[in-house]
Amino acid sequence: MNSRIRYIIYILPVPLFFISLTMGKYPVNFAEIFEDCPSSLIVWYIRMPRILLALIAGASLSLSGAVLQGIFRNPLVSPSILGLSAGASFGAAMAILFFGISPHPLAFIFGILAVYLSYLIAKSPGKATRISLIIGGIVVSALFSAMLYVLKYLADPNHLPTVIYWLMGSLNYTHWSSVIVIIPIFIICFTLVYITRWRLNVLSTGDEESKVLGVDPAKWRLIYITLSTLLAASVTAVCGIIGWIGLIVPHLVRMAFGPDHRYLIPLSASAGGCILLCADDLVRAILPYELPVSVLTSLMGIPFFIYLLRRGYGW
Amino acid sequence: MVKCKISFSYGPTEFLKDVKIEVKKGEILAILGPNGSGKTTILKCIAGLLSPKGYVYVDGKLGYVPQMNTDTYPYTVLEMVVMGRAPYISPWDVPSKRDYKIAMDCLKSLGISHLANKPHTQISGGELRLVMIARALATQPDVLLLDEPTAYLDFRNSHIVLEKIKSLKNRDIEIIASLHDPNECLRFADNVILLKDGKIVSAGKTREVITPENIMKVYGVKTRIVESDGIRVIIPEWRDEQ
Amino acid sequence: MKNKKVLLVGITVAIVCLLTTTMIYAMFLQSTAPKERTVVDMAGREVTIPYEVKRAVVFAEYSLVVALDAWDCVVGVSKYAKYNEIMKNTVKDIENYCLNGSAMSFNVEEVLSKDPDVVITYGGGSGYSTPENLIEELESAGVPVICVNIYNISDIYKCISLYGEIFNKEERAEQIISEMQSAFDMVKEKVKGLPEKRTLHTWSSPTKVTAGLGITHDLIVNAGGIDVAESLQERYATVDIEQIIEWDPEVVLIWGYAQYSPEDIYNDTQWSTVSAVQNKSVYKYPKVSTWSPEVSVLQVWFGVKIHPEAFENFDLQEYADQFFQKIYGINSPFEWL
Repeated sequence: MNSRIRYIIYILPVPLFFISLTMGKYPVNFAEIFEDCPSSLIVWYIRMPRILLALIAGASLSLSGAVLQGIFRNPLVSPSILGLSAGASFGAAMAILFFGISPHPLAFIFGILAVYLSYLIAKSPGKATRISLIIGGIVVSALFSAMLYVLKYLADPNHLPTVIYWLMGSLNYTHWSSVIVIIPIFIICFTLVYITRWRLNVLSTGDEESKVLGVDPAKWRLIYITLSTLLAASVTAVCGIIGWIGLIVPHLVRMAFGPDHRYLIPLSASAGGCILLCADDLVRAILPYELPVSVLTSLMGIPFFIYLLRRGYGW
Repeated sequence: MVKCKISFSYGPTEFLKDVKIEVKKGEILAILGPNGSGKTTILKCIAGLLSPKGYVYVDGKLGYVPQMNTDTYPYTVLEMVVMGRAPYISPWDVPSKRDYKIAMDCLKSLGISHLANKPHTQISGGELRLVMIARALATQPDVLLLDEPTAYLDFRNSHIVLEKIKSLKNRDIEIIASLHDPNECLRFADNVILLKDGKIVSAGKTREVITPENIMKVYGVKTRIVESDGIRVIIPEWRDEQ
Repeated sequence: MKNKKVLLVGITVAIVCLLTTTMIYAMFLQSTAPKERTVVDMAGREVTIPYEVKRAVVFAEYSLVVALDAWDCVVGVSKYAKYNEIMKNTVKDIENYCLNGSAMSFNVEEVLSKDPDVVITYGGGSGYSTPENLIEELESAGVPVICVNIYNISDIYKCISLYGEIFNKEERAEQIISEMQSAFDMVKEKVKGLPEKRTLHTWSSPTKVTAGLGITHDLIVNAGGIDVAESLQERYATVDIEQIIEWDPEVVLIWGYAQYSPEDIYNDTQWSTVSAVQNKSVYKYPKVSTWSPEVSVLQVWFGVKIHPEAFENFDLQEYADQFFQKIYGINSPFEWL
């Protein structure tokens, strides 16, 4: 029974994709979508990139969270634990408030920089352990949050609302250009995580045991942190900070299907994509005007969580 | 075959000094000593988890059963055991049917195959210890290191674990186990290394090493040997029973 | 007998002198006593301010004080004043008046160091306003605080009247209001009877729009436009680009401080089917404040962009210069294209 549900989740993005294509504020005439007309423009240039972005972003965030939860052996870890969100926020704010340029590139750069800094701090006592990594993340997050605060204080108040909206994460006004950038990153990272997914099982049972079994924990931690950061940074750079998906989806999947990463990894990716797509469809097509999608993702996650906790699946 | 001569320091303090070990196929070596005498450190050095001064030579594959099990996600027993196959599985692979069969066989050989699909967090301490041993066995090791295999186990479970370990002798595996009870050594080890403060006090055949003199030297406890039906036991003497 | 009479006369004279002195002193005190008066600010608070305000610290609408010709009553302004085009061109040494804070956050001690007799700032409404605790701190130090908040054009009039009252420039305030009125009336008159045009006003992002509320909505309606997003009834609504295509505005007007230009909209494929793009009717106004008197010029600009046919021989730049001269005594520091 479990495996049948698994397969359903694996293919769920496909029907959801097509259903989402039919949803939207403009009354699209699907008979005309191969001709030169507004309906065609909307389906191919407006809905499609956004739907794809929702699927890929949801999958990326969820995957990133699953990987981190594996190597930190902690189901309450999320992609922002290594300072990514704080760094990206700072980069985006700097771009908007002081250079008047698009926030995407600087958000990506600073997001990655923040994680690299966390890693350096974690390595300073000699070896990067799980605890030292978390401490590094706390320090870096605090650093970038403080700098962001200063930026906001010094900035032109006319541009502050832009920063605030970006920080809340949204897929509004998505162009193909954003999606094109994210697709290769996702494909590469997902492939690498997918084919090595069983190793996460081994890594999550302890550093010493892993080492004796020939899986070098330090090396693999670095690899997985890099992959996870690339996934989350690319999404954050394009969409802003969309919280909860990276934390809740892998957690829910683990509670429902067990911790074996052979299934956890693909299921997290698929479920994450579907959930973000549904949330974004609601925001885009059903609400009268848009809310940042992370508002919805957090609302969606909570009742799910409570339900599964009561069913008593333990972790 | 395991051969080593190591010294190790945690930071500036010298912890192990010139510990020399040699184990041959089918032998069980017990490392005995008080708390903090360096038993776990020796095993970690042999396993490659620590880098000591000197040399460590291990001929063949190594399996390691640590003393404490790390808190982790509720993988099933079978999933835990199949992780022991990691040295044979390349990074881009998942365990094959054969890997799972080997894992199952290890479980069967320890009599716990009925636990295969249970989350390992829901079984007893003794059963978990056996699962960890099964995992180490799944590696098809030539050398098996066990750190305090009977720690935190009750009377019955200690007995089961030790019995199973002894039965592994037939498989031509070298076994090095750190033990805290001299009687366990007497019962099932071929050779013993007696440690105190990181130095070897005595090494050799079990019956030669476990003597009231040596025990007094290392533990400071007065004991005497009692033998019955060829089974030797060493009993501490209580002052008021004199 | 004679001694008693002298004593009586002496005492009477003494009493009369004493009384006279007291009366003169009292009259003297009366005429120089600082009187106070009460005004009601825009948050509905009754605030007691000096009869003559001589040392005002102004965080809100400081350009209004210039327009009212009351700048000599100001001792301090917000740090942003030195970037304000109007202030730069009307107050030569504006930097000397600038404090380190602004309405959103200031140092109470710094404000107090200017020994103000009143502080005027934003407050009482939602959105852009000074934190409550800062207002309380000032008041407990004995400094009255006037709160203003502006959501629509009548609020601007109220603000001007209030400032007129505070700085005893009621007549001038009336003048300003009437100039503004005539600007609005002029536009309304010109676009009367013309078919209304679907108009969209965008903010910091092309998909963040005015939706039925706020000053920009009023400007659109007065200029003979239909606010396409009116149904949402929000001051700022972020919408899906699809929605904008469905509304199909004929004119798109971009906020002066936006970080994108009409070119960006013209070059964006997603906007290509929108009428405003096809007719090349996407415009961006200069960086004017919509909360100040010059919003009247912006109103005329809206009129020119929405109904160019009604403003055929109209020189907007000249009109702007005239308006700025009347209100601020300078030519328009903005280019009105």
